[in-house]
Amino acid sequence: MNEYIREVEKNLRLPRRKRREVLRDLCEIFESAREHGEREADVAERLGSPAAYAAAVSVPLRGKKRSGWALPSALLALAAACFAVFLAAQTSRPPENVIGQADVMTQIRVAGGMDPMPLLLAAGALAAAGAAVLFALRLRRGRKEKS
Amino acid sequence: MEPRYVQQFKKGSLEMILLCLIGRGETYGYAILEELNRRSAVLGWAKEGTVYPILYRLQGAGLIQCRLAPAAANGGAKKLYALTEQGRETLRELLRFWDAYSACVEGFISAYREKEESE
Repeated sequence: MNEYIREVEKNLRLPRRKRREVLRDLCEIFESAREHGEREADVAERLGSPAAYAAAVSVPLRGKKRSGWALPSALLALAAACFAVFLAAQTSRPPENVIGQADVMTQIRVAGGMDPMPLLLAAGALAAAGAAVLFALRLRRGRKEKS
Repeated sequence: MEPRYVQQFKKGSLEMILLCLIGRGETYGYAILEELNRRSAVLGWAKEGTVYPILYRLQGAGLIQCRLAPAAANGGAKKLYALTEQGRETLRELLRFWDAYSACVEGFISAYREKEESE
């Protein structure tokens, strides 16, 4: 019995709490069967190979797998939006027929107002870096699953 | 080995059977197996490897809950399963569907039998 349970444990790829639950239930399966006069070998045979049992119980316990593409894509879009706003602000021109035919923008700034542009640039850079890291991690996971 | 379509059919209804069984009152793993195996002539022999994955799925879906009760015989504990409120509601819906479904299937079957008998 212990050997069977150990073999199942080796084959379980689950969070610790769920793994403990499966192993506890297995103990109960063997104990209950023994109480009812069943031989351990018969129970083990009915359960099938430890690997097969581990695989069967893992399917409902693992839950839904996230694709892993959503978050990096959202971050990439955020980065693109930040850069787009930044570029638009940098290249913005005054209207053609401004009063006084001025051909440059005035340098008057509202005192005390913070320039949001560096902040925007930093947010964009941060989002882009985050997206790059997450994309790399997701790609690596994809390769691992294939192999 | 029974045909694949029979296997598929049984697999699909086993969740509902388990909900009915647990809905009758708190019960534990071995008792569930015994109860199923009383009808093994139709259902086939139930195995832990089939029943436990379904119990885990029903629990994950919030349809059943369990608690550990001390078991006298082995000094260990038995896990007792019961329906949750959501499980009871889902079972009610399932049974409503099952009634309509089986009546519908029965209609096709009796029409087929009538045709067969007339030939």
